[in-house]
Amino acid sequence: MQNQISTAELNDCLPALHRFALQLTRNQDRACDLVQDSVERALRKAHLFDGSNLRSWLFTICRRVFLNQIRSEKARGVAVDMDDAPQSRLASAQTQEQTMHFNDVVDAFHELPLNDRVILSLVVIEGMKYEEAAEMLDVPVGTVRSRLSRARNRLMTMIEGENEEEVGTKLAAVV
Amino acid sequence: MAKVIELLTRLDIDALADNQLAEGRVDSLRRYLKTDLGALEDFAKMETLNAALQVLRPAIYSDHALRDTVERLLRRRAA
Repeated sequence: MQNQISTAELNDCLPALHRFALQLTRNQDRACDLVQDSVERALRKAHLFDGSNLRSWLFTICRRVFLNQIRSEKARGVAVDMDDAPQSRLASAQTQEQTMHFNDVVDAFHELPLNDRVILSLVVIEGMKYEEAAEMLDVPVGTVRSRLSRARNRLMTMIEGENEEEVGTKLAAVV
Repeated sequence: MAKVIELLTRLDIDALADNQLAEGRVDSLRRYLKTDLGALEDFAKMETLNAALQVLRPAIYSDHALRDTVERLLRRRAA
């Protein structure tokens, strides 16, 4: 069965997708291009969308498109004006940093206590409602929300701790 | 007549990032975020962290203890 992506739902996702693209590229123009490419790809591949979480699916596409762009840029080099050359070199260094920071997120996540990893996985990765997670873990909904908040804080502290000497927004560097 | 003040908490910001904030509170929180840059930054961080975890799913589930626990919970729920 072919899934349809509603224009309204897609429009709702665009601001968050743009923020995500900006954090990947750290460049306003490249972020706009990346969003454009991601949305085009999403519309072309709409038949593959399972209908559950459009935002998550768009983020996944966006990341794949970004990684493909990096690979092809590495393969052919980036064509730039001479005036832009130093920035281009900087952008390449940022790309390497971003790849490294993906590993930092995973490493930090693996350092969390199992309960934190489980609650984050159920809600953030599996997309469960707080009520569903509460029922599954046999705890009140308020407990799920507070555990989730503590788990996120711990994770953020660990990620920011690993990058504390770096300049700029820590989480922006993560993705 | 008493003025009703709506309290917005950090957990509301998390819930908005998780797409799980009660519909009636979404608009008021979004309005509030426009007035509080610190809260807006927290929201952006949470949203980005969520996105990062979602796209890093395969690497996160390379942790067998976690994957086994989540799978067991999901099976129990389905049963």
